[in-house]
Amino acid sequence: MTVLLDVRGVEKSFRTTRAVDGVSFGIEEGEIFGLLGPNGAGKSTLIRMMLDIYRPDEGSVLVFGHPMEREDLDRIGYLPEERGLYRKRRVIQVLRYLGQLKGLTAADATASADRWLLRLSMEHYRDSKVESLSKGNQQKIQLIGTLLGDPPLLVWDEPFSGLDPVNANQVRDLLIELRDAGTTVVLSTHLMAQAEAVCDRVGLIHGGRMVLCGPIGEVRQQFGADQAVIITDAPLAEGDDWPELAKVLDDVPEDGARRFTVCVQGSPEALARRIIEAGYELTEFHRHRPTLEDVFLQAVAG
Amino acid sequence: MSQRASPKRIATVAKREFIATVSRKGYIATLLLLPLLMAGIAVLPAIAIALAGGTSEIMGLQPPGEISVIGVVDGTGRDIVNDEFLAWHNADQRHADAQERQLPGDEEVIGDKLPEFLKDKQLTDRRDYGGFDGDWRLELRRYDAEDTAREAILSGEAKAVYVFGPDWVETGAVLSLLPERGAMSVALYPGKVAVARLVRKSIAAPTMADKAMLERILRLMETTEETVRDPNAEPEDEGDSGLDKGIAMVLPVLFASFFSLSIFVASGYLLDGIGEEKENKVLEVLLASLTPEELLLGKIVGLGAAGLLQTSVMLVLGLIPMLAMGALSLGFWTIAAMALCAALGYIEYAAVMAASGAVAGNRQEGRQISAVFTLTASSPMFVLPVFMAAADGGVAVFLSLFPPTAPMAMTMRLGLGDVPGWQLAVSVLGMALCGWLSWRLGSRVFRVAILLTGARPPLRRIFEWMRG
Repeated sequence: MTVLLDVRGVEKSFRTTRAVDGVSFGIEEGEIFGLLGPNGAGKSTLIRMMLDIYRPDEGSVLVFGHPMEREDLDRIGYLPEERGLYRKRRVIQVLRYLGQLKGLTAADATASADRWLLRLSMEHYRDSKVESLSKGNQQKIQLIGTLLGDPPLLVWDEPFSGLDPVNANQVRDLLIELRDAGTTVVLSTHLMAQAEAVCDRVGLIHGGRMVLCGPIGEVRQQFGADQAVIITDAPLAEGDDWPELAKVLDDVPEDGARRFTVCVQGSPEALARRIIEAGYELTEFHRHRPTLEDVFLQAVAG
Repeated sequence: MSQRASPKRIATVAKREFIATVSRKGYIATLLLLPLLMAGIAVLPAIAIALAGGTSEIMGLQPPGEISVIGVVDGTGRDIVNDEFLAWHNADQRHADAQERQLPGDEEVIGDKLPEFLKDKQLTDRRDYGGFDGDWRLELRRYDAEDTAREAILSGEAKAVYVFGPDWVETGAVLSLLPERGAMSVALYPGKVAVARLVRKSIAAPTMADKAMLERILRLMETTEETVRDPNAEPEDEGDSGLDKGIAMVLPVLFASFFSLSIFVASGYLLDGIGEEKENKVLEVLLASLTPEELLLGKIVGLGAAGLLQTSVMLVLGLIPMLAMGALSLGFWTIAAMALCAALGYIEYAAVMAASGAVAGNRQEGRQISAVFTLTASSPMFVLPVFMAAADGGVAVFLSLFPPTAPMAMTMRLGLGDVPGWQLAVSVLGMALCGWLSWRLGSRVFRVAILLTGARPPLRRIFEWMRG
């Protein structure tokens, strides 16, 4: 698989704050890569360095196999987190301009805009002024702006923000459709459910560092292999009484007993046996398959 | 990233900026109003005269060719209004009129109350008939009593009556009775000098044997005019009157200021445009497709073209008619040099203005920052009298060679007279170098600051960005 975007040990500081600290990862052609992390983690700064809007203090970024060149801008569709449109202009005028900035002729830009407006059910707003559109529809126009000319690499920063569930699903389907057609997508989001639904691989940024990176299944495995959900009246807690128990992640009352989510060291079955042998009731026991959100929270909590 | 800019993208940005700017209501209004203002200034004297009811109304007399009656009431008991001399004056009044208006320091000269820019040749040219063209005729008439004189004024028979009271010899006090006049009328005492001469003759003639001296008393100074010029200096157009010289001074400065104004107008659009895009958060969207340098250059070209269009329209609609009328005697190369200075001035200030817009959090803040540069660039206008007094003086030369003030100062000097070639060359070179430096530093600041949000960075940091 070709690595389309290769980030190598990039660092960026703003005065005394280190926004990105030695981050390395690669994005393969034709995949959807989720760049996840809490607010202020350094995602947007990292993306700006990937696109050469910011220059890294250290490290390098290769795009399409080489350092970014002027022509590469035409092959990348970028939706920034801080985004807006010319509010007084008509939708088609704005899209035509954005298309022309990508190197399309006015006619090609118009044709491409019309095609995507139709695809995202926005054709009725073609000649409307941008300021007359709802926030969600403006968001869709901005998404269309990145698709003009069918660039092989899309970098979308928080594309679901401001979208209602119906439109969010429409965008999610579009992402999968684009990926299937060979487009590579970098998706920065804090909506884990959406990322989980569409991403092939994820990288989690926290405090400017990449704390984990890999295919979603592996990440889950890495963080969820030793987890279990147990409903019991046993007073589970870290300590010598329960040597198989590494950590209690969650503890809530349920039907006169308690529902524990725990990290187990060694065999989870051994812990189950110890509960029963100690004379406690074990109502439910199963291995826990963590969601991306669980992984996120666990990784951020350290 | 390879910094090779794409001319096609620059042209795309320039085109959008141009169209977006020229379709603004403010731009269109300025485009139309400025020439109207220019035309207004040109026709203002005519408007003033029309508002006043015509030139004759301004002068307080009948129109040329018609006789204006000026009355005298002799209450002195000394028969100072001699019938013989009244007849003498009225028979010879055309000649007397001419003499009257030649008297120096005469407060009656019509038009002196007008501001300089309102005077026109007809009102102020003293070389013909003491201030007026045309056949202005006065008839002096005696009224026996003040009441009769007042009636003559009210009926319109007399334009003015001078009442000499019994204490005139002791005090010199004379009451002048005048009709109501329009607000624009500037005539103080119509016919006063003619009356004074009549009285002078009445008093002096019976006692003076020396007729030549009497004539001299009546016609104290037969003045002719000669302008003393440096014989080595270039000959001037003989037809230049004082007003022509005034126009020759003011219009080029006006012309120069419009050129310079286009710098600020276009730079202002640049500043506003960036501020607006910052507020709309469009900039990062654009930077996904453009390098900051392409974006900046496209804006400078597009908005410069909008400024150029505005200047061109002003020239065509406002100033070329003046050139055609000969009121503005600037040669093609002078105008071309002015245009070059304005263009270089725009290059000098455009990148700086853009950087100001990028550093500022919003449009208002951008205007505040840019005021420093605007004031610097327009500072020669603050010392305009120095330029008018000596366009080749030390201050004017310094300001026209100092790159930040050169665009306006050199344009003004070009309008006011010949500028030595070496000074123009040094000035242009300085502006070009300063423009290049401004582009280098301004674009560096623009590149870093364009995505800034929140508090304005301190100056120290901006200097760091300039160093790159």
